[in-house]
Amino acid sequence: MWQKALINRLSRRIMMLVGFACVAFGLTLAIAARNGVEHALDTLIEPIGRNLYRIPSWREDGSRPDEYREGFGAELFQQLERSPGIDSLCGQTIIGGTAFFVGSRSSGNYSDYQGYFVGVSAHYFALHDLSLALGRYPKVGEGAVAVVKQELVESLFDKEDPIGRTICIATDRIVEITIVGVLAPISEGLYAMSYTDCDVFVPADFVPEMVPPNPYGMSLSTGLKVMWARVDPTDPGTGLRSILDVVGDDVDVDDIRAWLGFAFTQKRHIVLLYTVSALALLFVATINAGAMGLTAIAQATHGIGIRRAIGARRFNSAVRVFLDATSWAAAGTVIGGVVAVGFVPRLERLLNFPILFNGWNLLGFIALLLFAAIAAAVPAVRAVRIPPLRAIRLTPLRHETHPLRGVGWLLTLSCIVGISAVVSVIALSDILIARIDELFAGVDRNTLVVAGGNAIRAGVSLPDSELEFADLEALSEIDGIQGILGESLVRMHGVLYNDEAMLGSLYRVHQFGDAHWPGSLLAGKLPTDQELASGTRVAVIGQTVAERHFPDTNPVGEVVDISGSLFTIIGVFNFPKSNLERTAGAWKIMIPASTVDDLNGMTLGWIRLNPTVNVEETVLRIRDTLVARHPNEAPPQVEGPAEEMGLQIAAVNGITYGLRRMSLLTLLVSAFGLGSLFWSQAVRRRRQIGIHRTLGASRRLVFWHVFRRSLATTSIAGAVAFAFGLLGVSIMTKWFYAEMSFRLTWLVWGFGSILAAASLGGGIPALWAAKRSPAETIRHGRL
Amino acid sequence: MIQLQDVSRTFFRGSTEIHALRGASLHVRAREVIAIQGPSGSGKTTLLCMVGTLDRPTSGTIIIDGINVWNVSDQKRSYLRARTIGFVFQSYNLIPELPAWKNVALPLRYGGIALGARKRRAIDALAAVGLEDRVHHLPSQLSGGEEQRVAIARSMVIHPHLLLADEPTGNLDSQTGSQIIEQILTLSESGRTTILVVTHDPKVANRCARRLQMLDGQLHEYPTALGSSER
Ligand SMILES: Nc1ncnc2c1ncn2[C@@H]1O[C@H](COP(=O)(O)OP(=O)(O)O)[C@@H](O)[C@H]1O
Ligand SMILES: [Mg+2]
Repeated sequence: MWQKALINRLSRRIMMLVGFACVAFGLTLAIAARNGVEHALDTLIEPIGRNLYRIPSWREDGSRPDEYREGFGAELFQQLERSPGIDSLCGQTIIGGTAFFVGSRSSGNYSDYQGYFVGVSAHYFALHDLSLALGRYPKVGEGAVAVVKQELVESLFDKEDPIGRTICIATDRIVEITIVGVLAPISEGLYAMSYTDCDVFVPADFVPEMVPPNPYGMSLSTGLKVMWARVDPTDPGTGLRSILDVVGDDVDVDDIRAWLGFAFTQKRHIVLLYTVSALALLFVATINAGAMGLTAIAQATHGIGIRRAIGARRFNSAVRVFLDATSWAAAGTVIGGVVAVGFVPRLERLLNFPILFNGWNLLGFIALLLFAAIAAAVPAVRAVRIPPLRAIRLTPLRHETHPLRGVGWLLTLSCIVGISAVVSVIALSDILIARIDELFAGVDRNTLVVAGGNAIRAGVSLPDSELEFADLEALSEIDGIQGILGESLVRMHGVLYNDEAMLGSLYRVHQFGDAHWPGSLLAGKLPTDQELASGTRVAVIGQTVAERHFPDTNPVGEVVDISGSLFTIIGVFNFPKSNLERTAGAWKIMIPASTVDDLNGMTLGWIRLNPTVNVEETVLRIRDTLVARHPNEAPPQVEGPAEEMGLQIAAVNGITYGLRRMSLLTLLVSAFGLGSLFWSQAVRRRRQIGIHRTLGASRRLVFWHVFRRSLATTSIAGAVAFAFGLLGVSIMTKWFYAEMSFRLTWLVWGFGSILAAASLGGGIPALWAAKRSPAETIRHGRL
Repeated sequence: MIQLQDVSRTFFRGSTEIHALRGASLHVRAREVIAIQGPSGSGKTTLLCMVGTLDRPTSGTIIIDGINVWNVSDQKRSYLRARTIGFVFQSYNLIPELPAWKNVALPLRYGGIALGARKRRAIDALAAVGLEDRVHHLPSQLSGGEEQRVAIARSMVIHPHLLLADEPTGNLDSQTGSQIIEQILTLSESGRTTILVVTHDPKVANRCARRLQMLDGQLHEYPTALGSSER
């Protein structure tokens, strides 16, 4: 019995500990993630200063006012430069792409570099904090001179001194440009400024010479497309007024922070979601901490009454209760904080931005402890207000003095928060996934295809690159990759069935990392790792091959002849299609690579990404690895949703794998709170339950009696929560530029959450109540 | 109608065992009125709980009206209690939130009687113990004797085959006590009910046809029971 009592007493405290640990964990990470995003933004802005305004020649919606059809003219530029409050001003033209070459095109003896050029005004480099590695800046009016990027120099001049050399472009004639400077490497952030992409910077007034005459007679706008103004930091208002006076307010003027910040919106939104979840958790935990304290008191009223009757002072009783609650909450907070710090590397990988701790974290910590103190103060105050006499005589406490008054409502509220967190996070990730799936029909969002690079497509004059299984082997070492299915074309024809040639291309496949086949199995099975490795003669055929050659029979178990060896068909598979290969998936015949000699045909890798690692970063690492393995060849190609929408997929994965857990945690904590309330009530009513049982109430009836109430509470909470959740989702979908369309699965999740909360919150106490022996309970003279 | 064979009940408190009943056997015929006496802690309450199917014996069998009560489902056992067994306890065991009549109506509810009939029968039962003007009072608004009479009304309302009373007068002054006892014993005269009453009061015991002595978890017939009442 005493063990049970100990467990009862401890369990409430442990729940308190765990609850606060959860909150500390969530809050710490949310704050740190927010710090990280802000920091990433600041490091982008810091070198160029905060008083920079970006003045584009278009409106917010991208359309151009008539007077700026050709950009900003020189007159306007000079006028603004002389206006009060403007410290310095620069501008840039459109960015153009072309091939830069050295040597002679007519003789065929030349090398070239596909790149971008831009015309810039004076001060452009200074305002953007771009420094030179070599040479000097070009001057306006200087003509055909340029500052170029390091990459271009390396590609065209190798190790020779580029200063004074010329590079050429072809318009309607050959234009020669003299290199006067080389830029120092630019630290390339994820959210690049326009200069990040540019290779050649020429004086703005030279750009018209670089653009071929327009065949349609339209004047190609060669004025300044964008200006950048640094305003007087001591009086930024005057500067901004000057800008608006000169260019008018019809264009989309923004300060640099706001403009760059736009690129951060999705990260911010995710951080905001994390923060909201953390706050929800905080709310739920605080309520539950208070509720647990109160239920403890409700159970101890008798004891408190006796203590008071024999002389304990009010103050002492209050302090006991208060210290008990706060110390456990504080311990939980510390544990949660420590765990959160340990969790940082994982979250950093998932979100792909730095997680930073600063004063806000400390503030959050203090706030949390404060909340814990408040949560503990309520029961402490209520404890001393219980009239000792009533407590001793066990007369039912009147409503005003009952320690549990109001707790039911608060817990219902916390249940609402918990359930709506689950519903909204589920719905949101559904919506985002649906959006990505819509864009990449049929292809799993965490699947990528890699193949050799093609000089024509990449626009470089390097030899094509071919992948080999060794490349895939190397890729499989990357952290963010779960597994790769490598396939290599053996030949297009030559598989025999009943001495008849089959239509279909023969591929050999091999597995790197975890087993993973893209697409779906239609019949039979897939080769096991063992079969792939040991050279077992099995084959998997594509859907069309199966339909064409086995119209009436089941192909599984049939035997085909490949170069004189017999292979058994074990499965029919529907391979997805990739633009990077010649054979459509349904026309493939796959055999283990180990069954044939090492022929190297066109090799392709189907990569399964690890969704808990930021996929955007993984794509970059895949590229880097492949380029490093194929130097001086056309860069290998990567295709797939993650390649095109890395940021969005990272967001979805972040929500699916991070936020879902956090919201389930919220639900769990709130269910525990409900549980502790119902349990405490059941304990208090233990004697009455015994009386009811004595008078003929069955166990089932008692169970139902207790359970019913938690079911009612959670159902009402669930209905409200569902509405709240959907409201939240409709707001959040706008953040991610998606459409909200209702799905039945959300209802299922909603019901699931309600049931989970009800059975955790009510089921366990109800079971406990039903299991009491009536003899034991009626004997208890006290509660 | 009741048969206890070798019933033992052992409680475990940590590592110590308490043998509240040690192989008690008892055969009770229908309409018998039995007094059970014995020192405190000898196992009387435990015995009543056994007979009332409130607690499971550690060993031994209990048969009531031909049913081996621990061989049937909880559902059946509960129904048996609701329909045929009345309880009166020393500490009245009323539900504090319910008015007198609802307390009385509870076993009818568990016995599956319709609401209208429940209320009528509950009020009749309260009238039978002289509490017709306390129908809507809460237990906390009643005196000890009145509370116990509500408890008796509650045990009577089902017209039980078996009434189990555990020191029903223990918390009351002697005058109220004898009133209560009167009310319980008139039941036996109405004929249908078997009564087991635990009491320390020799006067009460003397009015019972059969007297049992509980000693150290075992039951003994009280040989001089009839002799003393004939005197
Ligand atoms: N739930 C229980 N747990 C442990 N011991 C118990 C329990 N109920 C009764 N006992 C013990 O069993 C013995 C018999 O108790 P009881 O039947 O109440 O005696 P009586 O009614 O004759 O005074 C006592 O020693 C008592 O302490
Ligand atoms: Mg007793």
